[in-house]
Amino acid sequence: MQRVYLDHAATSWPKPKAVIDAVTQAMCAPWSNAGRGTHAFSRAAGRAVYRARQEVASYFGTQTVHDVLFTASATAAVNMVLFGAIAPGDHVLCTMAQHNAVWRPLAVLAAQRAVAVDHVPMPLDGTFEHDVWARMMRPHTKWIVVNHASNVLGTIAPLKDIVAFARAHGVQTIVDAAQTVGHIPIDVATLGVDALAWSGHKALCGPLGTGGVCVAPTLSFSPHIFGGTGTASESEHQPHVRPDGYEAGSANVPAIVGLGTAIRSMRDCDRTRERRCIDEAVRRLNRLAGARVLGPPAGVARVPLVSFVCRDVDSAHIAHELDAKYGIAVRAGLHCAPLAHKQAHTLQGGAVRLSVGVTTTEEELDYALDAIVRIVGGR
Amino acid sequence: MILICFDSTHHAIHCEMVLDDAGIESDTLPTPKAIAAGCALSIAISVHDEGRVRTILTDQRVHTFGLFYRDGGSYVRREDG
Repeated sequence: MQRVYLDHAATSWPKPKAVIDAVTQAMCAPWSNAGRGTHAFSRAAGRAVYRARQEVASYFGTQTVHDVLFTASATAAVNMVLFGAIAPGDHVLCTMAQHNAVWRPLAVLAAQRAVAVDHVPMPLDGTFEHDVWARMMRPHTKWIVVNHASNVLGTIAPLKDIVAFARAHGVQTIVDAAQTVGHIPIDVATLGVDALAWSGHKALCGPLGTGGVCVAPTLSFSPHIFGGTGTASESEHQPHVRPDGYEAGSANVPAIVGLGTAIRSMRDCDRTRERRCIDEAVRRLNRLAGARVLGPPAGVARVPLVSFVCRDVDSAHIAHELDAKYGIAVRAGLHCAPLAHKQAHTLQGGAVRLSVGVTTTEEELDYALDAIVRIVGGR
Repeated sequence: MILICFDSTHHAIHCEMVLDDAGIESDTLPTPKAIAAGCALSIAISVHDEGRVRTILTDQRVHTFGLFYRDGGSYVRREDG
């Protein structure tokens, strides 16, 4: 049976050969635990991690290489900043359609630190509505948390406008860019974002277990994970020096090295085919009787994913049939983002999501769309 | 000999690499206990390179714990300039 992978919004597959080779080489080389010892094995690993950090810093345009903090995922990165920066009593505005990576930590902060959270409605086409934002500001609003693109709707937030609005009001911005990094160029210093969390294993095509956050040098926040840093070991207090103080524990050297290679190999990659593929999917699903496509209307920019529901067919059934009968991997359910489904009125039954990647071909997409027509029409 | 001491292994590696790039001879070693009790890295350079190294540290925003020289049995922090 043919195998077609259309779940790139969860993680990319297959990984580039250069990435696999870099990870393998990192595991075979005489490298040990980075930052743990003065011997050559450790220093070589430290240099490899440093070079990967340089790649990330250059990719995101951070002011210095020290402003890149590695984590195991975008979720871990978001948690680190939210818990490290938001103080008791702060008011937080966040965009609708947040992933649970943001929604759940904010719920904990609301319960534990009396943080007030309001969700700003956002049009599906990603338009910035200044008056709506202005109305929701409060005297103690300190943070705006932006989901750069919804992993369900595909809607791209007007990040430039939101950051400009935040700066005009003296508010700091935290961005969850898990679904946009690799698809949309982001220059954090030019944008003026205070913290931008990203995933290394989705559109950047790095190994699973990679992610991080780019922080502005001016952002003050406490570490969230405490433990060994390879320095100041005599003290019970966690150092705040960046990046070490924010990366307690052993670094995932092979994965980080693979990420550096992934960024090098993907940064000039032509990604127009992904956009063509997803535009075609939107067009065809819009024509499918009984189907409703979620997210921006056709012709409006979206990240390369599309979710849909069918009036008489359960989303989980469609996904299962695609997998079992056609070898096609898609994702059904709520996609860890119930707020997006609430906005789309699909909270009860979820939706089917197709997400394409740099390796997806037009032929694979045709095969999947034909299969969907057969499953939906064959009942 | 001057010892550049770090409270960050990242910054120590950063320094090691920029000194390599600048062609300045250096040696990475554990920080002597007389300077810092915890495990940490230091980089030894020749006193003759101190001026160039200080410029590089500033330009490259390398964060150090301080520069030290040996005076008999102890280490003394070396002031700027």
